[in-house]
This record gives sequence, structure tokens and C-alpha cells, in this order.
Amino acid sequence: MNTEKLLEVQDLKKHFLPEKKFLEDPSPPVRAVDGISFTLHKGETLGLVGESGCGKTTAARTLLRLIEPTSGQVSFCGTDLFDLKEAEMRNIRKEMQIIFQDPYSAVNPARRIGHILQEPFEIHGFRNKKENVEKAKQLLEQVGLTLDYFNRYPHELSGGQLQRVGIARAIALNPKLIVADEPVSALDVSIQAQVINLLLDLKEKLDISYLFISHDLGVVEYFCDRVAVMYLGKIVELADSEQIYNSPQHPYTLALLNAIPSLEPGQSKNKTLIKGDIPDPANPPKGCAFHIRCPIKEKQCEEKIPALKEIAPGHHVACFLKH
Amino acid sequence: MPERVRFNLFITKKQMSSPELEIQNLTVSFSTPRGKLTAVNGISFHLNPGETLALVGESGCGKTVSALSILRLLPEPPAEISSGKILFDGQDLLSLNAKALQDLRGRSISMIFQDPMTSLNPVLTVGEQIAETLLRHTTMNRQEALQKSADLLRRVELPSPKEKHYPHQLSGGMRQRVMIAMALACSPRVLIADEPTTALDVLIQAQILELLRSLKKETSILIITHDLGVVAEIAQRVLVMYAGEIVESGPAKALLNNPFHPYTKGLIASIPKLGTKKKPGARLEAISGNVPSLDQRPPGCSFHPRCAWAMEKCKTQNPQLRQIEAQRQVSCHLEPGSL
Repeated sequence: MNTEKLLEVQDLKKHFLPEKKFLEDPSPPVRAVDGISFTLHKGETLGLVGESGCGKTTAARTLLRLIEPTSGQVSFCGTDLFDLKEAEMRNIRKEMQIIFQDPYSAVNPARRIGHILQEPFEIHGFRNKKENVEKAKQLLEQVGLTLDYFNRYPHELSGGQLQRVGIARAIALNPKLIVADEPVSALDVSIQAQVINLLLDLKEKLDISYLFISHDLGVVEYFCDRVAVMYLGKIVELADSEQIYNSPQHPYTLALLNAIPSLEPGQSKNKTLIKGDIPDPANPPKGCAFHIRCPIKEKQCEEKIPALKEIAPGHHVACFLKH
Repeated sequence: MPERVRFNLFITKKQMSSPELEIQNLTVSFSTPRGKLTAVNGISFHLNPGETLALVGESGCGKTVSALSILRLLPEPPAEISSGKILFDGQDLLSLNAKALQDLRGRSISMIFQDPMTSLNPVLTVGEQIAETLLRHTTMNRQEALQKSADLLRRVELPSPKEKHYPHQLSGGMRQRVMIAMALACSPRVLIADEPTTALDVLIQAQILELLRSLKKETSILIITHDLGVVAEIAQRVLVMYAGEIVESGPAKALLNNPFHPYTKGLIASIPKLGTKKKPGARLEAISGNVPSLDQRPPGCSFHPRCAWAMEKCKTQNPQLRQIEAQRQVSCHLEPGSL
């Protein structure tokens, strides 16, 4: 594994402030991302998993500065992104692209596929129209679509085909990093596998690093080298995907793994299920955010917040009982 | 006397072991500007008493249309049930009038939908909504109905005072519990659950599946899902649908361990298995191509353009569903076991 750091995130926070209402006490901010730190190495695939509302999408958008952070530091190839002016940021976006969950809402429905694929070049100052058309055609082939699609509109494509267009657009400018935000969640199972295979092919051919966001631990475990599990705005466990699967340490990771329906009928009869829902990020519980659902909590979990500590080489856990 | 007991007094032993619900040769089509499109093409199946049956397939395969046709919930037109019978209680539901259908819905057969937010009334408390069902179908007064709603909510682990909450005050998992409580209100004999956990997170999905599993003794369940994991968790028997037809059916365990249809096999292989170490360069065994749209069904077997085993015959002849083993059927020209 390459140890060159591509992306380094330090104590990233994003709090959403509610609207002020006249004569009312301001409600507390929503702590969507509450101090996360991780490093993505060159050529690596890092998975970010968690339930809806845990802050994984906000984290991704904040570190690309699609929304402005509250505090923290993100350095990309040694450049501190939050220090950059808008024009400089636009320039560096060539190197870091995003794939969205719903391909239909991620493209302009009034533009033909060919045009959608030329846009990245136009935005970044490639003026030669003929070359751009040529490059767009190459992109189509790279993601396994025929040239027939060049003149079609998005609504004429199926979800899987359009997600391929979304991927083609993301790789157009040869980025170093692609943030894939639930790229297969909206797709049918048989199409999901095709898109995962395509992403793996591109990674090998183009030397891309992925930050892969998903709620599906099965897909993440298959696709990623390392996995970060998020709960209520914080990373609770970070390790190699094998370690996460073979020896999950945080009770939340264990619960997620247990909850995945197994394809072996009758296997899951004796699993312990976690009760309750994810708490409101505007009113997180005191102490460890997971303690109200945790089957192994102790007194101290209700009072103090556990830090993310390394308990084995490369295996980080935020749980007092495992420190 | 409850409906069910009254019914049982008049049936013979032979009838008692007969299916709770039987669908025969159901065909559903829609009139569209592109012409008449067939969404469900002559499917037949039955649901046994006390059984949990899963109808599996990808989007557009006709699984939801089949389920909605059972309770005649499709808008007609544009939908049209062009042939078939839906037998329940010795009656063909397709021959009933609107009033008789309303008496049946929510009392003998009830339904849970995928998205609990859009299925609940946002301006009534959840207790009142459940009571509505009871007031419509039983002789209870308002007080008794509200009391029963609270009991039902306790049954699905939403204890008091949750009945006084409005849907927006509840999380997605809790709303789905409300839907289940409402569906159970009149002790239906058949519960149709259309993708009941698809909109939920995996931890909440596990809770809801656990709840559905605990209902098995009370009612027969037809669960519609795209997720084979959910099937393995909850169903005894499975029907796999592709392009409006049933391509394979059988007991869940046997079907998942040893699929006979190439499509079923492909679906199972498409799911990354937890804990299988990925070799460098390894890929998932994806099914190539896309699900055909309704107006572009290929001739012959509709799966043949995506099938790795397709033969000349498959391009022209649509295979019929045939019996392979005691409880297993498949519609494929291949010899079973040759996959």
C-alpha cells in the first residue's frame, strides 16, 4: 500500500444553525459532523458507513467545500482547502470529483448526454469543441456505454446507465480523488454489481482513490480497503475492512453487522437486536452518543465522551470498554 | 361471533387445508400513449394458511402491480385486469363490487406500504387513524376503538402515550410500526407487505423483520421485496419474478442454496457476501444488460438477452413454468441442475 497521503481531514465540524425566531430562545445547532479526523492514502479506498442522519453525506460535501465547514482542517495533496479562495478552489476541483446517489437529479434533464460529458471540459477552460466531443465519446466507451447514447436525453436512460454517465463525468478530468456518495443505493441488485465492477476497473486503470459513502456494510466491506463507521456525527470505529468484519470492536459496528440479513435462511434467529432509533443530532445524549442503545454500557459512558483511540495497529475505536 | 370462527363452522376438512388466497392466471395491463403495456403476464400462485410467502424481483418486474391487484387498488383505467381470478374465501375478488371490496380491505386482507410517511394521514394522531379502521369494520364505539388502538400500538412496541402523537413526531421505523398496527387492527387473515423495510435503515429493518416474524401465528403474510436477504430472514417460500412473469418458485432455503433459474442465480451472485476476502482483480458476478422496459420485451424467454446460458431455442420459445421437484417450479429450457 502506498503511504503517500492524498487527503487528510482533521477535526472537521459542520454545525447547522437553525433560523432565529422572534422572541424565542434559539434552538441548539444540529451537529451533523462533530469532529471527525481521518487520512486517505493514495490509491486507497476508504468507506464511510452509517445510518441515515449520521452525517456521512454532510462530511463528504463539507470536505469538498460544496458546503462551508464550521471548523477543522482538510488538506488535499498538502494544500489546505479551507484557506483557498473560490477561484483556487474551482481549479483544485479538477482533482476531486463526486458521484451522487440519484443519477436523475444529478444531471441536467434538458441536456443531451454528449453535452453533459463535455461540460467538465468547458468549465475548466478547454475551448476546442472538436476535441471535447472526441473526449466525451471516449468517456462513454470507458464506462461501457455505446456511442448511441451520445445524443440521447437523461430520461431515455435507465438508472444504471445514467449512473455510468455520472461516473464518466466524474473521471473526465482525471481526478486523483472521487467521493462516491451512495453511488449504488438507488440501483437494482443486478445493476449494483455492474456499477461496483466498473468502479473497481476504473480505480485500477486510472489510479483513483475513492471515498466511498454507503449505508450498506456488505458493499463497503467488499469494495473498500479501510472502513470508518460513523454514528451521530462522529467516527466510532476505523480499521481495515477485514478487521471490521472479523473483529468488530465497537458495539455499534457489531450491531450493524448483525442486522445485515444473511442469505442463509434461519441463521439470524439468535441475534441480539439493538433497540431504539438514532438520537436527534441537535440534542445528542450526554456522554457517549451510543450509550442509550448500547447493550454493554457502563456508568462512565453516560458522562464522558470516548475518544477515537488506536487499540491495535491501524484499528481505532471510540469506546471506553475497548480502550 | 368473529368473522373467522363463523366462517370455519361451515367448511369441510378438505377446504381447511386449501390455500388462504389463490391467484390464477392474472394478467394486468396499462393503457398508455405507447399502447397497451402488459405489466403482469398470466401469473398464478397461492398463499397457504400461516405461511410467509415472498415475491422477489427488481423494479419494474410487476411485483407491486400484482400485490395491488389483489385488493383492486390499481386505478382502473389506466390499469386493466384483463384476465385471471383472485380467489379468497371461495369468492373471486375480481367479481366483487366496490362496497364488498371496501368491507374486505383492512378486515380480511390488509396491506402495509413501502413509505410509511405518505401512507399515514398527517393531520390525525396515529391512535385516531387506527381507530378509523376499527370504527369502519367493527361495532366498537369511539372510546373502545381508541382503547384498542393503544393496545395495538403496545403490541408493536410503541407504548403509551405514542397513540397521541402525529406521524411527523415519529421516526421512520415507528411510523412503519404504526402501519403494521393499523393493518393488524381487525385481525386480517392475509397481510400484504409491499417493501415494508426498503425505506428503513438496516438496524430498524432488523427490528421490523423481527416484528413481522412474530406475526406469523396470527396471519398469512405475502411480502414483496427486492432484497434476497429479507427473503432469507423471513420467508418460507419464494416466488421470483422477472419481466411480469414468475420464473422460479420454491422453499426459501432450497431456492437460495440451489437456484435453478439463471436469473435467480445471477441475483444471488450479485450480492457481495460478507467476510469473503476479495482477491485483487476479483469482480462480482454481475448480470449483464438491463431489465427490459414494458414495451421492449424480447421475444422468446424475456431473460435470454442477459442470460449466459441462452440457447437458440430461448430466442423464440418462451419456457413455461414447470414442476421440477415436489415444491419447486422453474421456467427455463435448461435442464435443472446444469447451472
